[in-house]
Amino acid sequence: MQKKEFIRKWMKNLRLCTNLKRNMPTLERKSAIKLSADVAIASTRTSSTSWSQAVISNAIKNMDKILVQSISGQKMHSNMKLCRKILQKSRRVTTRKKVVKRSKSIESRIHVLKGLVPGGNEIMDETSLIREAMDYIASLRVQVEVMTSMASLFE
Amino acid sequence: MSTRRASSRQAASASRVNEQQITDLLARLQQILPEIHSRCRRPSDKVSASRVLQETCSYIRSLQREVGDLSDRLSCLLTTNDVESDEAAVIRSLLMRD
Repeated sequence: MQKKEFIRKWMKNLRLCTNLKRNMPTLERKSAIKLSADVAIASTRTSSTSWSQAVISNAIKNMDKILVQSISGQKMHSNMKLCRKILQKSRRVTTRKKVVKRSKSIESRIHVLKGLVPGGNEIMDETSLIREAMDYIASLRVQVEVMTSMASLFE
Repeated sequence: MSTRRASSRQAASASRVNEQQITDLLARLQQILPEIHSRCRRPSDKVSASRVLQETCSYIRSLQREVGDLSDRLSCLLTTNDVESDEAAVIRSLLMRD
């Protein structure tokens, strides 16, 4: 199901991207392709995960806002509401931080993981972080699988 | 005095439940990591939490790298015509590869 949804959304995004600029230089095309794919896979999981919301809000910050609005299929102000929600959630959780004894190596690995999962630094408890990481990995695998098929289609 | 002991007992049991949750999640994570999964002869083989987290980080990094490389390849392969002209056929072919 996620695979179908991703393919549909990615194709729509690609169409929108290539519509905007006819003669794109290769590097721009690479960014457009990657952005379309990242936003598409994230939008298949926005209702249940925070990594996906972080991907979309980062895309909003970094790229042309109009482009992202049309390709994420969400209105601008609803994306902004999502950003605010994420920030609010993280603020609420920090006030109840539990002190759990962990070995230094586990602490440092968790720190690295937070940096790799989008929005990971806003996640305060380990259980949520691990859940987000699992969902993120599953989604990345779908993304890679489809992009690989696409590449073999055109080679 | 007694309320302090009671509340610290509560906190201890709460963190025990949390520990169990984390252990369960790490076990599930272990199942989907290719490196560890292929090396373990049985799923019940214990791998340290630190190792699981380390493998998770490497795996995420390699998947992200793959996405970047694939975007590179596709930027050379895809042109406006490819995507627009036969989109339905492209989607069908992608869906059939299962």
